Amino acid sequence: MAHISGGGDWNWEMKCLKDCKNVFTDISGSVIEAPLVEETVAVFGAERVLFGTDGSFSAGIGKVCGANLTKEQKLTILNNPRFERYLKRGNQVC
Amino acid sequence: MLIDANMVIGHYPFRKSENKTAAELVKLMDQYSVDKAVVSSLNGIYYRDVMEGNYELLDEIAPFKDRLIPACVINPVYADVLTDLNTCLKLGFRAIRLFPRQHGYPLDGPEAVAVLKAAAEYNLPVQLPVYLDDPRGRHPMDYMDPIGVDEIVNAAMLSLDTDIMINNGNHQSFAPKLSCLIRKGRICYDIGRTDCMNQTSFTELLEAAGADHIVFGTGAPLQYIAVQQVKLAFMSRTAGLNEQQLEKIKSENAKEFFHL
Repeated sequence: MAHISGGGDWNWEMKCLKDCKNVFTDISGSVIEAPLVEETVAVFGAERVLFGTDGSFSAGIGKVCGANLTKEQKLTILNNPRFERYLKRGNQVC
Repeated sequence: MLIDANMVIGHYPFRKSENKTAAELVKLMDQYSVDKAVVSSLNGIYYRDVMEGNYELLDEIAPFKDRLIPACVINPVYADVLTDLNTCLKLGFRAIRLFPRQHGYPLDGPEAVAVLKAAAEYNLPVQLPVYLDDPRGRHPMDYMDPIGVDEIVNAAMLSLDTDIMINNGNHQSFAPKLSCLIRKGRICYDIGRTDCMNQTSFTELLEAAGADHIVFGTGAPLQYIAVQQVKLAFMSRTAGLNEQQLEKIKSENAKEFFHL
């Protein structure tokens, strides 16, 4: 589920998908409401949250920096191993 | 020094928020090296008589007078509003915040313009938060659209002596129209919703408004302070602003606007 900060009721979106363990989200988008990132991690776990901006660069970086999370959780979002799996999968298709 | 032109204190009725008290907000400011902040009551916006919220705010921030600068919420279509304005001046409020959508009046209507003109007479600057929360994800009972560009331009033209700050706005739309108005009153914009790392939007604001009219403002605690800190870093390292321009945005423009 891409773009959780893309403008919408993120509480609703997370509630619908929290139990779908194969669903991941990214924090991209221009919404800078606090505590969006903390709530996303609380619901999905940092390992199911990917970093993204959708072109809102300062919002994307600032949200991660400003979130009340541990350093490990922030690093997991910024360098999520899931990215590598997606990229590998993409290469196989190509 | 870093001054935040747009913070609020209190409970937001439409979603969870944190750091709602003055003590929590000051702690948050310390975390991000914000020296001072202009604050208004979030509760008071939703009270029938906004003055009750203004009084609550003064009590709440009393222990933090050196850090928190009070802005009063004024409702131009409520009873005896000019007396409210006078009372707020005497109580030491340093700015007025108007919420035309929440209180149900046009910003360019006669009641609001009367308040804008009275504010100029009292030498009180006026802040216009375009919206409190992103309207795309709003609660069904929060049916407020952001304040429109034309409405603000009309109001600014009808109150030529009033100092006006537009907070949390899409300034690429606002600044080109407002900056060409010939008026004695000052116009300022905060960086809350301008993505400075998107070169075009910040450059457009800078070109239209000039560094003399841009201030640091976060909308905290409803919005992340760190997002605005990233923008400051960008301005100094990439956007080519010199030290003097950066200091204006960080604090000097706010000092001048709020008469600090």
